[in-house]
This record gives sequence, structure tokens and C-alpha cells, in this order.
Amino acid sequence: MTRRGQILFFLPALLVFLVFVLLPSTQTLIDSFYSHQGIKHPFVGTLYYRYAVTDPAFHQSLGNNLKYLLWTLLFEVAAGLALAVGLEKNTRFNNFLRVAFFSPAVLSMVVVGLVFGFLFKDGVGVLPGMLNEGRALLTISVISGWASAGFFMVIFLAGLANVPEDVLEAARLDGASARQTFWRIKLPLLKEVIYVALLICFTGAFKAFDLFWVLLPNQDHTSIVSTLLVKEVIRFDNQGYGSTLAVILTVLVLVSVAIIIGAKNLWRRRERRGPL
Amino acid sequence: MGKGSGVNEGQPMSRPRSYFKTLAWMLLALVFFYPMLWMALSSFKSSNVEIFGHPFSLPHQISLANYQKAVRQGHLGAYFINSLWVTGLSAAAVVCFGAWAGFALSKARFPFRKFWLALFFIGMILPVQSYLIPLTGLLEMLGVHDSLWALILPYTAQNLPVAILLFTAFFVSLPAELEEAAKLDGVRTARFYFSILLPVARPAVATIVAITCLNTWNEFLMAMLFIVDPAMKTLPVGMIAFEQAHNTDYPALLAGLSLISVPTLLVYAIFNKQVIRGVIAGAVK
Repeated sequence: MTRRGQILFFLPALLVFLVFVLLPSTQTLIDSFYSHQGIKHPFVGTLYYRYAVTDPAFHQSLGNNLKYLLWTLLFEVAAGLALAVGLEKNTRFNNFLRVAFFSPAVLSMVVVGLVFGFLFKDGVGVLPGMLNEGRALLTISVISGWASAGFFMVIFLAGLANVPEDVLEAARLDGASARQTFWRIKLPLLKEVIYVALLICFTGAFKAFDLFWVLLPNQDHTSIVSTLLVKEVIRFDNQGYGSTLAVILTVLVLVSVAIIIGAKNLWRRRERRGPL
Repeated sequence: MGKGSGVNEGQPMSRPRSYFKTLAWMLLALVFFYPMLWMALSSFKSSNVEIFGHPFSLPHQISLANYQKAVRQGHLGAYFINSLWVTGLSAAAVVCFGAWAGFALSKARFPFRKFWLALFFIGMILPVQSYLIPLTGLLEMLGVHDSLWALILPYTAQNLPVAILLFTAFFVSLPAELEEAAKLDGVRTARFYFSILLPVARPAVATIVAITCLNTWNEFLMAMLFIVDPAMKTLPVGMIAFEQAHNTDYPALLAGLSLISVPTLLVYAIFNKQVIRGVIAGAVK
């Protein structure tokens, strides 16, 4: 294939990605240093960043993101792992259960939010009071777990399928119990998949938007960074501060990815060095 | 689903699954399934009183009146068609551009290959919020705001990185002899790509179509921000508008919600393997 041919094949994808992802991402970064109030757009430096540091709404939102992250580690990742381990054997019954657990994952979060909104609605709902101030974040996390545990189950099942059968056979012959087999053999072999799951869970906790927006659009106590930034832009027309929040959110996502990949590499190096 | 074929086949189970365990799993599955079942059953009920007064009972009679109402008053038919266009065209564009770029990047001597792959990896993890705000102005500048293109173009861009990385990995994994043999036979690059490579890549195409369709059919944030014209709304946003206009007509709302969910559940039921493979590939790549 000629050089020109290669570039022709590559160009359309690059163009679309450049124009609709890279360019606007850069623009967001630039916008975060300018005020967009009024007709002139003066340069304000790090004003919005300094404002974010003292903004109680941002503190609360970021705190909610972190709490949500911890809950989803439990309700999505740990629950997904438990489901995968429980349904590991390829039987028809298990296959049926896997479908039941995964199917919420294909629903739109708008559907999920509205249906649970009806179920939990004060006055008419089947389970009222679940979205009260003290409980709402936990409730949203549980709903999130309901919608996504099956997704993580599928990822872990794929990992479990790669555990070599002869290793399990050897463990069985050595008289290892089911619990020992899980902790000593399967879990270490699942490491790759666990990193992937953590990556998705961490980034997902910062990217989350739909469920929070649909369930409790006007509540401060369940505000997260992504809903705060949308509010800043569409309700207060404050593009500068909205962009700043977007940059902070992006940095949080990239940093968590870097930390997880870094931890993975560190672990791998330590392993290669052997025990001690 | 998920697991490789027949790992435990041909081996007698060490002991029969106890009844208690089976029952516990059934119960758990029921809890998982129940919200969807509730949504579907309630969508046939005749009134709010029937839905919330007897939340766990079956509907008295099955009638499609709520569905007619959702389509007529909620304009869900029009939103449905918008969603079909947006999803179909985005998926087609992602597969085309993604496969072309993957084909180019699978060549070891492509200029700055490592750099592009790293760039698309970052593009894959970049949250939508990082490019969301300036997109409104950009789409206006391009003159496509308030049209379905205002969604198709960003959706394509958003789903391209995964597709490119997956297709690159797929084409790299193919034996080099394939292209050499074609070259010896005098097949030109474009023809090689379209008549030999693309048919081989069918599993990768199915995977990308599955994840892109799911993502775009359910996308809410950009659809909410970029579309103002009610006639151009897609289902998730249209459903929110319907909910705000008829926020106490629960039977009709639940009919609408069921209607949105049927396509994805149906696609999942039919293309189970591709969807699962797509989920895993999208996650692991």
C-alpha cells in the first residue's frame, strides 16, 4: 500500500476526531481562562480555578463524586465479581441468570432514572422516601449497581474463562477448597480484568450524569461535578466556570487512569522481581 | 455468553446444586428483573390508581391504549425515527471510518503510528464533558445545529477511538500472507481492502456496530444540549419532554419507557454474542 493510500484511508477518521473531540477539548481548556459574561471576553487567568477551590457547591459535588465512586466499587465491581464467580459454570440455568443480570445494562439511563423515580416517588410510589436528603446518594448508587453490576459480571466472566483448566484441576487434586481456589488462584489470575474494571469504575464515577440529572435534577445534595457544570452553562450561562469544571473533571479522569495504570505496572515489576 | 465454550462440559458436577442455592439465585434474578417487569406490566394498566394501588398485581386487561397515547401525545413515533437515523448513520460512519483508519494504522510503517494510537487511547478515556461546552458553538458555526447532524457528527467522533483501536488490533492479528498473496495476484489495495479484508473483519464489525448502537441509542447529555427543536429530539430527550408535559399520566409514561427499551432489549436478545463481545472488547481494548 502506498504512503498516499494509507493517509487517504486514515484521513476521514482523523478529521472527524480532530474537529469534534480534540478541537473542542482544547477550546474548553482555553475558555476556562476567560470570562464569558457580557460581550467582551476578558482574560481572567486562574480566577475560576481559584473560585472553584473556595466554592462550596463544587466541594459538595466533588465529595458526592468520591462517595459515589466508593459505593459503585461495592455495588458494581464487587457485586459483578460475586455474580461472575457464582455463575461461572456453563449451565443452562446459569446462562439464563446471566441474561437476567445483564439485561438492565442495555437500558437507557433515562429509562432507569424515570422508572425508579416513579417507584420511589413520595406519595404515590411503591417505596417512598428513598430519595430523601440523607439517603439519596446511596439510593442512586444502588440503582447504578442494579444497572451496571451485570456489565461488570460479563467482564469478570470473560476473565474467569481464561483461567487455565489444568491449574484448577491441579488445585482440585491438591484438595484446595472452593474458597482457597478463589482467593489463591482465580483472583490473582483475574488481575488484568480487575484493572480494567477499576478503570471503568473510576472513570465512570466522574463521567456519570444521566441518572443524577433525571432522578434529582434540582437537588444540591446529590449534585456531582458533571451536573454542576451543566447547570452553570445552561442555567447561569457561565461558560467560563463551566469550562473550568470540565477541565477539572477531565484531569480527575486522566489522573485516575494514570494512577491505575501506574499501580498495575508497579505491581507487575514487583512480581517479576519475585517475593521479598 | 461470556465464557469460552465447554470448559466444564463432559465433567460430572461434583454435587448437585442444592435447592436452597437455586432458590436464592432465582430470587435474586427476580429482584433484578422486577423493575423491568413492573415497567412493562404497568404500561398496560388503565390508571394511576391501578398502578400504585395494586403495584404488584397483573393488569386487569391488556390494551394498547397507553401506547397509542404515548405515540400520539408524546410524539414518540417521530422521536423513534430520529433515533433510528442518528443511531444508524453514526454506527455506519464509525464502522467505515474506524475500519479504514484501523487498516492504515495496522501497517507497521505508518507515519507516527505510536503517536496516533496513543492519541486515540486518550480519546477513548476522555469524558464527554471535556469537549461538550464548545461543541454547541462549533455546530452552530458549521450550520448543522438543531439538525440530526448535530448529534451524528459528535456521536461518530465519540465512538471512533474504540473502533479504531479494535480494528487496528484485529488487522494486525491477521496473517501478513493474506496481503502478500493478494499483491502477487495483482489485487490493488482498495480492492484488497473491500473484497478480502472487510469480509474477514465481520466479527469486529459486528462488535463495533453493537456497542456504537447501544451508546448512541441511549445517549442523553449531548442530545439534551444540542437539540432545541422539538421535531429533532431523539428518544431519551423526547421521553423527558413527554414526562415533563404529562408528569402524572403514569400509564402512558411507562408505555413510552417500555417502547424505548424494546429495541435495545430485542437487539440484546438476538445479538447476545455480539453485544457481549462488544462490551468486553470496548472494555478491555
